[in-house]
Amino acid sequence: MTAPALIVLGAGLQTTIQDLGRPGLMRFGVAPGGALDRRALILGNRLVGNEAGAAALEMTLVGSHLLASSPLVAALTGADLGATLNGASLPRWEPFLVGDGDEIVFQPGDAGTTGVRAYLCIAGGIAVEPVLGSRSTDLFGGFGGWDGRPLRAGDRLPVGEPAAPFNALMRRRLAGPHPVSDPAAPIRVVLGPQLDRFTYEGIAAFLGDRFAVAPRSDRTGLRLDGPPVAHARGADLVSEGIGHGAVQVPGDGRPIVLLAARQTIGGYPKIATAIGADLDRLGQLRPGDPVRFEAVDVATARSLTLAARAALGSATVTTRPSTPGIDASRLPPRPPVAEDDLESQAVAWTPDAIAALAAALRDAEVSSFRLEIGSLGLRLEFDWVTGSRGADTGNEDGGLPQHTAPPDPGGAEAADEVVTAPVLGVFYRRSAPDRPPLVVEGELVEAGQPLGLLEVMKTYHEVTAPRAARVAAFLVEDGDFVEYGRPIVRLSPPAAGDQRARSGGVSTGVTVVES
Amino acid sequence: MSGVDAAHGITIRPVAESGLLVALGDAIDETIVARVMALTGAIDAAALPGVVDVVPSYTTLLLSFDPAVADGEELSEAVRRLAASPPPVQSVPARLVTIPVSYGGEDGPDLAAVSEHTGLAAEEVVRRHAETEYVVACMGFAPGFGFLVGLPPELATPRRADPRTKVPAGSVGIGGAQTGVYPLETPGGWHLIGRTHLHLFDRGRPEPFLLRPGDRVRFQAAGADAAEHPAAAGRR
Repeated sequence: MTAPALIVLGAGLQTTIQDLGRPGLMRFGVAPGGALDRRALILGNRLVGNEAGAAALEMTLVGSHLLASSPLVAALTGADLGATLNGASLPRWEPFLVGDGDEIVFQPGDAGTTGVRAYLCIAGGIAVEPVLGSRSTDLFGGFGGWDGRPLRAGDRLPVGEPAAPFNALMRRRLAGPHPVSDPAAPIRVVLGPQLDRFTYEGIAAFLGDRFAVAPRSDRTGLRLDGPPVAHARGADLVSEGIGHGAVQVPGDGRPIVLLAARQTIGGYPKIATAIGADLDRLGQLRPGDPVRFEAVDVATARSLTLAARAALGSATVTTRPSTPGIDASRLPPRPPVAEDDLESQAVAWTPDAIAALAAALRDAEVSSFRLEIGSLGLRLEFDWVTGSRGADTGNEDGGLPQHTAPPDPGGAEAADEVVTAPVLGVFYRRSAPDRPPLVVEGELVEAGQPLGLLEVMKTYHEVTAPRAARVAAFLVEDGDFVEYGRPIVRLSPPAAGDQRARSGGVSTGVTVVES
Repeated sequence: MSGVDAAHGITIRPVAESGLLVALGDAIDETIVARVMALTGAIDAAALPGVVDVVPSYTTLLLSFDPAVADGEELSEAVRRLAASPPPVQSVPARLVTIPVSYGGEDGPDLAAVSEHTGLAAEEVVRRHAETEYVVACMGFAPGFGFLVGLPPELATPRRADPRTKVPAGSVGIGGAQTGVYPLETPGGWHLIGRTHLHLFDRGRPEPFLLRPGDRVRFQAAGADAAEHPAAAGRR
């Protein structure tokens, strides 16, 4: 029997192994790191019977495509990034079973509109060696987690020993309602320690409501777009230690909220520090989200943070009884049946059977279907996807139908198609400011050819042509910030006389350029 | 809570509900660095309950604590008392760390630029850099990167106008009035005058970090020998 493992088939935007970090080493220049949404990590670990600080996968905006090489129990917490298991959408905040050969695929089109980071917690934890006392990934230092870097296709992640048998783990649930985060709620801060380095106008601007998270934000900090926060006598300060949630303002007046992977020492004045109770929320703000700060005093900050911690501590996990109505011990014994005999009451729920069922439902044009299989601890939901999902692969094995392109704003031919943004970010036509555009209008492109780049969270993604085509028109400007699904470029079929060789298959719309 | 204790020149300000910023001065000065290090040592030795981290720097130390275990006001008082007391006998003694450096040539591609900026011959830059004793004032930017105080003022050279995207690990640089050694290959804007083979950060070592805040540091020109080293021989 092979050791349990998760194999990475697709990297996603930025997936790293994280636990609760390595506090206590800042004096050596090592940031504490760890999951940016600690509550999500802790609850996910509890749901699969792990200790609170077991190592999990932190996924950012676009999750990783994973293949299980043995049965696993896992839970997804944090943001909804559109996770599916063998084509069916996965629930969050409860354990699910992954069979040998099953694949977890993230469909950005099914993702929610809030939150940035999802946590995939596996029973047994990700079993890499700790470095400096933690399995968290320190990207700048290049150590910890998976060799100090984001996951890449081909990585094979070892999984540890679960704390209990699967059927016991599968019955765990949160005792209370699933956590929800309100991205519009203000971030509470305590002003200072260098409040005296700012003008009254600067402080008023800081406490106003005109900030938004800038695209160039990442695990080190949130950069904010908005009015300048003015200094009283320059922006230089003798360098000092920086706490988690500190809001520093460099010379350009644009605040940066420092997060877990921050540099430990800095020389810009700090106008405020976010309270402990709001740090997880900071880790879930996405580029474009508005940010508003509310000042509280130290005593209030302390009670709010201690209350949040108490709430987390008491968010216990209960064990459900077996699913009512599907009690395996009360089912009649199953006679042997052919695997394709779906009309029989006693069907063997193999992955192939489920796929065949899905195909049958699709052919019958059933629009949605729910089935709970208590004996496997699985709940399947089939929803036929509408709306754009970008130029992604179809799911060949009896999965979901191809999406239809959204209506095009201007003068499209019937056979034209529109390539939409596979992820949110800033769109660039060129790979560097001094280089020519990657493609121009009227140009013939091949399948997989890059049409532009999307920059988000300090990584670059190519926007590629899904098939050989002619570039008809760009629908956004160089430097525009685009949301997921925004039409970017209209392609028309290659002219009749052009018989370029076509590469087989449909490329995905997202290729990581730098990992 | 933000009180100034005039007799001892100490200011303590809260950092949200889980931090204290303790300031002992406002300029880069070796005496103030020494006071910061002494107080850091005293806080470490006192093992105050709830303290999670202490980050010393040139003029301050940042103390982070668990608000469920410690109260900011009480911790503040404890720090004031420690600052007012003589340094404990048990504090970790400052060490002298000697770092062998190959100066100039391929290991120090910016030595000529520093020589030109300072008006000193390259050998003289090397001699003055190597004969000085520095103090590690703080560590940051990268794991194991020590910011050293004590660079002779005549060697100060501004950061490069075009920083490098990759500085080799072990490079010794001058940036403004500071000097230090890059522990990892990282981007960097300092002028590189030499390189050491020592690893300032080695995660496999029992003591991963070569330097600690408060350490004294000397650089030693590799192959330094009265007969061989051109600077020692008095050549200009």
